[in-house]
Amino acid sequence: MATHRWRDSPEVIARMIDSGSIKSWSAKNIVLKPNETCVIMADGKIQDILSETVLKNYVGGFTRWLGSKMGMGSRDHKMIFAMTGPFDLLFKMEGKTADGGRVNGMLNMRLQIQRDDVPKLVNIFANSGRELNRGFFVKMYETEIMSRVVIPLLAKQADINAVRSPDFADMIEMAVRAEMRGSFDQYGVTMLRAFAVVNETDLEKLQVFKQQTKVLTDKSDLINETALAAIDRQQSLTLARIEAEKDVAKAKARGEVEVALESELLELRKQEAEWAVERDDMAARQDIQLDGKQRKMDIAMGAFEQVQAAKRARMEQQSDANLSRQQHTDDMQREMMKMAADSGALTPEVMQTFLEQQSAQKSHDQPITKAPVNAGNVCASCGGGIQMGWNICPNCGTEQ
Amino acid sequence: MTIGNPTDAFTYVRALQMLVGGYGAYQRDKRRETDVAVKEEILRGADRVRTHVENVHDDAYRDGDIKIAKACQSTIEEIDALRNDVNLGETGGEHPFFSKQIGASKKILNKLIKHDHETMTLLVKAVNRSNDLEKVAAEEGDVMKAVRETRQLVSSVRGHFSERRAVLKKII
Repeated sequence: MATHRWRDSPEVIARMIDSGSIKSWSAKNIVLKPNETCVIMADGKIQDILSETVLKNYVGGFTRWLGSKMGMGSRDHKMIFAMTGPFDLLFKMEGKTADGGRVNGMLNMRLQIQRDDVPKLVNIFANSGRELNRGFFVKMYETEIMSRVVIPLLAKQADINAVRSPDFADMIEMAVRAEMRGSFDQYGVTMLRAFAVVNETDLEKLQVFKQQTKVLTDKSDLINETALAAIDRQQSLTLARIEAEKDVAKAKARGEVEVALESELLELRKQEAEWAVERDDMAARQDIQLDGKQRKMDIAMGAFEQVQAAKRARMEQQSDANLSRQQHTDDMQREMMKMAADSGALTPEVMQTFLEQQSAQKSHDQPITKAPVNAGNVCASCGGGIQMGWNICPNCGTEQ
Repeated sequence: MTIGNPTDAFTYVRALQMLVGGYGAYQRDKRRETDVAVKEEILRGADRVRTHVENVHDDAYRDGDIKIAKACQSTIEEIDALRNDVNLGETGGEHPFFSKQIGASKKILNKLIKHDHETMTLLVKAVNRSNDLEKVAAEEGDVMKAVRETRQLVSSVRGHFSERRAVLKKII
């Protein structure tokens, strides 16, 4: 079964139709949801208020059309459909606060048409079209709300801040409820809620602009101050760094000088110590050398004395031997000459031979006065010659 | 044959019939009509309470008594909530009544009749209290106390009505 739809847009709140205006071959049902109400008016009377039901075969159809042509049924049969659920309307809100600030905004109102109040919509349909949408209700109530509620209430507010306070929200709802109750009741409208949404005012825009400008200025000042502070800080840091570097250089130079002096002093001390050691060593060496020379000298002198004594003894012994042998030789020569003389053989030739033999004997007996010096044995210390058999230089006492 | 009009619920039915015009006590052919009648009576009572409270609200607002106006406003909001609950409450089908899964027995219907009576009794109290509220406001009595009591009674009606569905579903 076909269904007649009375509403094809969510903007539509109510509609009045003539049932005869719905023309179709087959009859149509009308389904009424819980938030929809249908008021049936026939022959100028309100017959019924229906909701949550199905009106079976209520409109359209060939037989109904034929019956109307034949003068059967009601001559005037109308239906008023209405949404009985809450719906929101937005009203433009304009006014001035006590300080002259212009306030613009929107007034949001939540309204409802109660089921029993739907017939009151006839009052509206009598003065307007057959379809009532949100725009119609806004247009119908806007001027009244502005003049009776919004403008007087805004004028009582000190400034825009008061308009945005919770008290103003309560006040505007109370004012709408109290001031508009009669007008709403007249057309079967019930107000559920109301609240205002206030736009930014010119004064607020100016304040915002001032604030933004101030923020920008402050920001620039802050940036400049920061930059200057950074430059000052950099300058201070640079000066401090230069000072520090200078001090460091001074200290370094002083330190280097001190180090150099200290190093030089150390070198000097070292050299002095070396020299002292060398001097001590040399002194010790000299002492040792002196002691050695003395000792060697003593040894040499002792050895020399011993040699001289031995020499003297040897020479004495040799002299004694020579003397004794000479004595013996003389005695023997005398006996031989005596014997020769006795035998009469003492001739000049014998005498000459005898003398030659005696000279040869003497030359043979003549002692070597000086010991032969070894030509290749020279003292390494003093360069003096050393006789064969000597282990110590007689000149310097150095042991060879 | 009256299924939902037993002797033990007779007192309540009589009482309801005095309060609700056309109360059919959930007879077989009048179950939905009875249900609608009960709901409409609740709506009507709520409207009465709302009107009284609105009168006090408007006077308080114009007198500058914002505190009482605010209290009235919250009471009106509670009444609107009750109206919404009743308007959009389930109505059930013709057969079986209320639930497609579970049919309403005599016992349940008796319980429902008793529950409706209690709801209506509370609603009558709320209407009377709202009437007293306007009177107190006119006599400059303790309006705030009367407003709060009215709101409390409306809340009680709302809460009690919400149990109706539970009764029909055999939950309580």
